[in-house]
Amino acid sequence: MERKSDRMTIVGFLIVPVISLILFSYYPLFKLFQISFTNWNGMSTSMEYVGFKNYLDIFSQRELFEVFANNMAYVIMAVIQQFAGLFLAILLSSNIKMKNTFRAILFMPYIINGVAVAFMFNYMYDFTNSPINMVLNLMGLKPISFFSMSYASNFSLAFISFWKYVGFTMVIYLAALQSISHEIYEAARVDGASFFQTIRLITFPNIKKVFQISLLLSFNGALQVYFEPFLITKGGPNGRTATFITKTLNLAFDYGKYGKAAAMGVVLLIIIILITLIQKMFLKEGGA
Amino acid sequence: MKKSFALLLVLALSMSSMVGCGKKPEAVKTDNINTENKGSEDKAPETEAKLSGKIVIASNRTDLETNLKTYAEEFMALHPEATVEFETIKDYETVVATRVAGGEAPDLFYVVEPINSSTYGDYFLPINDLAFTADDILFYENGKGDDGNLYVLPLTVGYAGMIYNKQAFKAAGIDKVPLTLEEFWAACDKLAAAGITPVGTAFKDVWPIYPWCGWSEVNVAAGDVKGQHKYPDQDEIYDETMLTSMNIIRDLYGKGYLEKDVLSANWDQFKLDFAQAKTGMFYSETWLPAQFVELGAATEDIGMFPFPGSKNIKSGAGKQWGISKNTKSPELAKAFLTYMLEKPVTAADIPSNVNLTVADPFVAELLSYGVEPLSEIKGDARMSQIINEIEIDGQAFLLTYVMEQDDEKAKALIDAWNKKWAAARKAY
Repeated sequence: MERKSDRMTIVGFLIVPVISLILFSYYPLFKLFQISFTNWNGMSTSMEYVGFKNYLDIFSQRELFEVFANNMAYVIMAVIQQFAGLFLAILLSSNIKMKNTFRAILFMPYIINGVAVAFMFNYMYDFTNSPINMVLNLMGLKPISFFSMSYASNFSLAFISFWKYVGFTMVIYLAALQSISHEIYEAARVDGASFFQTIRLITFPNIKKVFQISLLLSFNGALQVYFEPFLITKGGPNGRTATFITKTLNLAFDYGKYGKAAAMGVVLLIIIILITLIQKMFLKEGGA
Repeated sequence: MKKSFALLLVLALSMSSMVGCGKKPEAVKTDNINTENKGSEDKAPETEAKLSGKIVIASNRTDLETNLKTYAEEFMALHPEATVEFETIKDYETVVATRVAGGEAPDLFYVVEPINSSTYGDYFLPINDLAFTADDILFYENGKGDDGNLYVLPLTVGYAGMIYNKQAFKAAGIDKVPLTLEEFWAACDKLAAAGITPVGTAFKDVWPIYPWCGWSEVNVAAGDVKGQHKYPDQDEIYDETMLTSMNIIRDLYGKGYLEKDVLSANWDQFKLDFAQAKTGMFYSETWLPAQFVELGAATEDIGMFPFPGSKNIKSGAGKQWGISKNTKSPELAKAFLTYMLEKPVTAADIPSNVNLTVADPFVAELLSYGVEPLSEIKGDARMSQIINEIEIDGQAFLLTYVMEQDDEKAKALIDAWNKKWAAARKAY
């Protein structure tokens, strides 16, 4: 009797999240796969199945994959972000004044809505009105063009992600650092270890796993980046700042090719799964 | 264990971010709509005397929100049992397309991609019984679907031309508007010498430069009544006519006659600069000048003249409005569409209804230079189909073409698109 009511409780708690998960995650995912095999234009009442045509189209268009070169700027920034976040975390886990205030300030950008951040940087990167260029002008220096035909435009955009997420990375590392037992540090101090020795021999090995997971999250974020280029440069000029996702959005919303866009979504999903598997392999080796 | 959990979490995260793409596309269940529709049509004649029900009109004019509310209230004062609501949508094309696809179309909305004359009937109610004929409404014929029924009508019309700031011209010592290309370049020289940006682009927002590279705009201005519809029958999407227009703006960039840093020249800043006579000219349409006046420019300081050297002034229909096929109050929707056709929403609109008088000073000046207005013939859907097929964005490409100052490379870019076009058009 008791067991039955236990089961009822479990089912009661699970039913809503499971239905939500199926309805809002797995059903759309299934639809994504389904649409990727059609030529649906986003509006028509019927869709025709076209087999693998969308996938063949994608793989025959080299320029769709060349945009990953633009994503590399975000990947590079993601790596830098790990070290910056770790650096801040180590600083803020030591006994400095106003520790919590600094933590809050650094975490703040993460809470701000991404679109608002993009708008803010839109002004920051404006050629004529940018506060940065105003200061440069006052100092008698030449103003900077943040967006040009050069690859550097991607770093301008990637910096926005860096600014937004570095606080989050810091919090992850802070949590990891705080989970390291103080006794280990005390023992090391008794043995006469220097500050850098404790970081290299105690801190790093203990947060290695968190480091890898954080890096993984950042990599995935870097591959899926879209709102900065989408809102600020619209992928231009000449596709210089386009990413795989902005290309996908263009296909769906500008050219009415929902089927092909869905296929691109599937391709990105596969790429991310592959990268995750590769990382998992390295992760295992490193852990052993 | 922990590792695999984290991995699962990451996978779930990445998947859930992807499924967003797949969530929107939902096929419309046509059967339901049809039956619903029939029911309300049968009832309609009884309610004709007194209009009741509720309709929602989707508008893209976020800047007119309060005006639209008052406009709806005026209508409701005449028909107390009816409820009319405007909904202003910023990202109109995408939002409305998605809603229509989801079977939740607003009662009144205008044609968005990918709706075209061959599919009007799938989304709109026939409005043959509206009390207007081709003699009343400009571009009436364009609103007909391929099945011969009338589905959509424009509320406004527009004329393309060069908008200029008279104060800027005065400051640069230009006493006559440039009507030929030689005069145009001379005017640009003078404006630049006076420290005024000769021609504005708002290039960062990409779309504002559409008259320079729109296949309709360019060809009609060059005197070709077929406009964009000549392209499905020829191998070059960028022919001499197009390149002539695109090379003018490319040369302007080469000479430094556009904004200082075109890639950060945005629309709002541009409008402000133009209203303040910091920018001399801008190629656009008659819907724009009123916005400069709103930003503080005096009406008499803003003018329009035909694009220098053009054979015709391109005239065209504004947004094409229709009534959703699954509206619950078709009679009310028709009555309101009629009301909008008889009473322009704002004074700045140039009505498509020829029975109304046009008091727009900008149009009056534009048409006073002796260049005849011309509008494109009604074409078929092939042009937009092939454009979507080869995924060309003419406006974004113009930016690329303008920025590429190496003539050889620029030509290679043109050749690449022409090659794609020639290959793709064979299938249509």
